[in-house]
Amino acid sequence: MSLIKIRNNSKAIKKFFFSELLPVSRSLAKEEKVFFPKEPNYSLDTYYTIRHKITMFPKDFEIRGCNSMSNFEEELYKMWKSQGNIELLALSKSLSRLAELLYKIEEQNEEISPFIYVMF
Amino acid sequence: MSKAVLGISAFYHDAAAAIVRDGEILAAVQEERFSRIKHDPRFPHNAISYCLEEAFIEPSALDAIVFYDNPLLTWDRVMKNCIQMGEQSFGQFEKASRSILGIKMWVKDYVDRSIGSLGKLGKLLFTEHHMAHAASAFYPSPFQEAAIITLDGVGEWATTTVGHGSNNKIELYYEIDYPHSLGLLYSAFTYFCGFKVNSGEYKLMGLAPYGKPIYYDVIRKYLIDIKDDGSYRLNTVYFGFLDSMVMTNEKFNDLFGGPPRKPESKITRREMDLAASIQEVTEEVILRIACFAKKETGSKNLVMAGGVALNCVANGKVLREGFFKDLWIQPAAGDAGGALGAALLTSHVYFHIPRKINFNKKDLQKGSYLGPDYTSAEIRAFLDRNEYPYERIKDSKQRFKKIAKAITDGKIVGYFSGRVEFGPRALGARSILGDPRRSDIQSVMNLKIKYRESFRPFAPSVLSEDVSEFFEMKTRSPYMLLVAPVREERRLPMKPEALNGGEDDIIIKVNQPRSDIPAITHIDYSARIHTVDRDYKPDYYQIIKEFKKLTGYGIVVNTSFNVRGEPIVCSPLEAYKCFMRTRMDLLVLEDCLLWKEKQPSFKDIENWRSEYELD
Repeated sequence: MSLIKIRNNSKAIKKFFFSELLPVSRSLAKEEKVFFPKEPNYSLDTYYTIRHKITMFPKDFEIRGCNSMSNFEEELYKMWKSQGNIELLALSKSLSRLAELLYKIEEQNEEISPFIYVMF
Repeated sequence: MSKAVLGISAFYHDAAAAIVRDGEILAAVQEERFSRIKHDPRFPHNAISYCLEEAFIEPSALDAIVFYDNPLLTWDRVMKNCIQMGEQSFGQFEKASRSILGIKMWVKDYVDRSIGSLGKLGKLLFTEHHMAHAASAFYPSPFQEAAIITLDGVGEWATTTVGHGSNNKIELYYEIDYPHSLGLLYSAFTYFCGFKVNSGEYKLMGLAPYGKPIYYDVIRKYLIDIKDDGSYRLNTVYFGFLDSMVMTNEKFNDLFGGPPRKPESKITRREMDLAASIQEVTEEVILRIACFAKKETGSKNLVMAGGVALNCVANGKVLREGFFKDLWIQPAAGDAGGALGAALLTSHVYFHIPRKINFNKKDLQKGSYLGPDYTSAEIRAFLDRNEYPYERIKDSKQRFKKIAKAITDGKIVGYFSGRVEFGPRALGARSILGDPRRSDIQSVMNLKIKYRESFRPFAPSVLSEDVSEFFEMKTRSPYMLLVAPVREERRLPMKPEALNGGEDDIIIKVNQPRSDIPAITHIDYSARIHTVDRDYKPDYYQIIKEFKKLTGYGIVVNTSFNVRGEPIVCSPLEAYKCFMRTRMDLLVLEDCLLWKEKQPSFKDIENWRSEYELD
């Protein structure tokens, strides 16, 4: 990948993060809305959540969003809508554009970090 | 109609491929065995090619190809994490968007480009990460039904699940989600103690018996709240993994008296005590979850997978606690096993192939000997071409006797036989063997063969029928996933100076003979046990049997055939290189025996010490 492309990609990631993601972040913080708890709640009896989807059915093996770039935006939108995350819906379009820009099917040569668990 | 399914895991750690036909495991192997990069996360081109060759199948004839994870849900986690953590998470967002939006989301295109087809379906299938772990644990197990526990760093969101498997059906009822993760907690301590995250967790477990759990209360008070049912929640204010590129932060340092240990610096009393403390907390959580799983499912069997299930000390305690009559753990419990789980899940759930169960208590993992093998003719061609002197002993009985005699004489033997093991442990197909009765063998093997820290213990391979003669354990442990104490009457008391040697006492402790099988007896009189059955690995079984005839001991030292930081050897060439780079005395390549003193001087053109980074 050319240095120019890497630089352009960095700009696009930065732009998305600061002009689209961060405003959502600030607005949710203002409303004190969180996606996950960050600390223990000693008043609870259990921290287990009961899974709504306890098994996989044949249709669950097919994820349209990962099988075609053209479906990605729609599937992301559908997922967040079904989860009730309406504040994220507007981000799907820009994320789809970002994915198009970042798409690179080439060898991933980055080494595993010895400092942090591989989470993404 | 026969159904062939290819499973793939990649892009996190330990990329792998597995192929299953009608629910039967035909082949499974990690990419690292070919690429020679330890824990290689890259797309497993080589592993896939091998699996297809082994199954004699063209890519276009595959009924399905399945990836072990749902990248869309992983992206959901990344987005929500960054939104919640705000501006300071930009570094993580930049890295994650490049790796997920740029690469992982489009794994389908990698498959297409790698093998030129998406199989008969013309599309890639996906499973949920923990469903793949659960499938890898349940389907190959010898149980018709079993409770299921999966524990790892993180999948898409889940880090822990509890469920039940019965025939074809797998159901996961409960889960704990990111950022609350026992795997991430253990990795945080791995990092803090100066070992590599994603690979050094095993070292931390090995270090634990040298310490005292003096930080247990601090961990319980500040870092994790554990409920009676084993569910838990971390206090993320002490961790860096939510918004930085390291596992812990300043607040964590403050709790444990300063910054993390620098890699390769001296291991001090603090690291030993931290290891002991986090191990105790981990065991407590796992035992409580096991108890909860028993209550919820009523099953008498338990299966486990996920990286945390490689904690064989905790596994041994689960077994000894007696919640379950029987326990089976996927030998490739980490992400590599996800490839196998995804393929099995697709076979049994997507294609409804009825699950086969062995009612003779044997599992369907085939001893985990699922990787490449080499014939004697191939090996001889390699040796002849290179003019390496060898002795061929076709009579297997004579060969086994000779190998056993060498071990008895204190020789260190590189043993290469049959198909490569799937999973991180060497089980007698690619192993280095020694005499467990010798008190110096642990330090000799560590420092002259493995080139690694001398505190790390070696494992015994013991004849299945003799296991209770040496250890306080009656069950089989064919995948080296259980730790049990050495029998009381075999133990030797530790000298007081070894117990109270202050901060520098680790070497004094290591060099203390602790039993009549000192090379495999850990500081706390425990051992990581590999039981060997005639059915699974007859050649290896016979060698140990011959060793027993000579010594009265049906047990040998078994460590993986590699040097520190190197993946386990796969081919005869890699085995020969490893043999010549270390102070092994004898190399066995199938029916060919090579003695070190007869070999020509070895001109090593590779700088392997820098090639294989310390792990």
